[in-house]
Amino acid sequence: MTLRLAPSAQMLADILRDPDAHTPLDMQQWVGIITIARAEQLLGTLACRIEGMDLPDEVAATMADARLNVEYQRRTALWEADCARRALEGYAGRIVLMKGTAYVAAGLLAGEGRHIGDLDIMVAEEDLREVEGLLLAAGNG
Amino acid sequence: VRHEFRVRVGPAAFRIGSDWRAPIEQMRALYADYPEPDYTDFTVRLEAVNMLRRYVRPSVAINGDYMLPDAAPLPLDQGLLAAEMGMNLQMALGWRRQLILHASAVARDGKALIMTGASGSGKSTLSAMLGQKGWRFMGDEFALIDPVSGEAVPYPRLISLKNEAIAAMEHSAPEAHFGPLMRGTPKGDIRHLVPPIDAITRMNERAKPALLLFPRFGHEPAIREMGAGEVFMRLTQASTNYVALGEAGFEALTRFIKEVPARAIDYQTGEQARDLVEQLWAELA
Repeated sequence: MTLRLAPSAQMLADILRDPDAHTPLDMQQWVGIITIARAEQLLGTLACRIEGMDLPDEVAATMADARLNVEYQRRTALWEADCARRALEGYAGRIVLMKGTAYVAAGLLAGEGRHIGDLDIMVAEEDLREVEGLLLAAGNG
Repeated sequence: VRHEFRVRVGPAAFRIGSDWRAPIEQMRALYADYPEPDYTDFTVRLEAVNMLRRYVRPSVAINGDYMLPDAAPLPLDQGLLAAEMGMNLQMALGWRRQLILHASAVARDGKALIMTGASGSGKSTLSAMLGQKGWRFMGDEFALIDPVSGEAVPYPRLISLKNEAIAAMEHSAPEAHFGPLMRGTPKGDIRHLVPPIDAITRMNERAKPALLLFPRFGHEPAIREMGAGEVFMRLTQASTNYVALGEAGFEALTRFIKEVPARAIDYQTGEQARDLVEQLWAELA
């Protein structure tokens, strides 16, 4: 089955797949691509993917903003992870950091530009009550 | 979306889409002297909350690139307000090129006066009034501070007059171009005012911040000095993107506070406010 995408979505997918291959776009096409990238939380990824490319000034400015946001999200995610680490200092078991925050903490490519919604961690099931208690005591209602 | 309008206000370009013609036509009329850009930074969409509400007691949801999950829809005759609220929201949540202060700004001799304060402090009305009295109006809602140069960047959107300020401006600027009077909005009575033409034609002209005021309406005229710490705390609260800008935001704000003298002023009439502004401008700017 072929997936049929709206033209802007198709162009976004094409650029993400192969940033160097894209043909010159006019301003309305860029607006369409950026709007859908924002709506799909992919603008940061796009901005990182096409960094350094020759872009119209206005588009380059939007991409620079998006990379600032990427840095802001990365900083916020790592700060939250550190808050959780401190809250769980008394916990002896292993804590596994997951998904977005884990990617940026490990400096992995998958984290580059990625939108990070919240902090996901995993602990042994039998310790759930203890870990929840520690997080609540640290003010995470 | 069926109807579309594009406008650039200072450095920011918007695309407004609407299910209805009326708000777009109102915007076209009020923003007639503003540039129409090809590229837009943000999209705002005025959409029917559902199919029925496009036609029957039409109800406008404020959507766009950035949205508030709990934003209440507005009736169609407040569609212009909905568009303006949507544009403000895009700036507040999405703009990263300058430090945003929730403040009004006017300029004279290439130097800017920034006025900040809570809603009801009169900062918007004061900027509109000074814009009629020899100052160049730069904006009544957001002051944009460039993190590289430290300059204030104009953002002269439509002036949003509320309640008593509407009659006051109708009286002092009878020739000015006003939008429709919207009664009983969530913010009270609202009427938009097109800024003076020089504010629009010179919207790319930046100005060096020279004085920061915290006006407060309703008290005996007074001037109070403010410590750098208090100014810093109040400006972090007045900024919508200080945290997101990270170190660049901190650098821009601390530099601003170091370079720009700040005072709190109390006033009961526009006349008193103007006297205080002129006095402090002569002394400090």
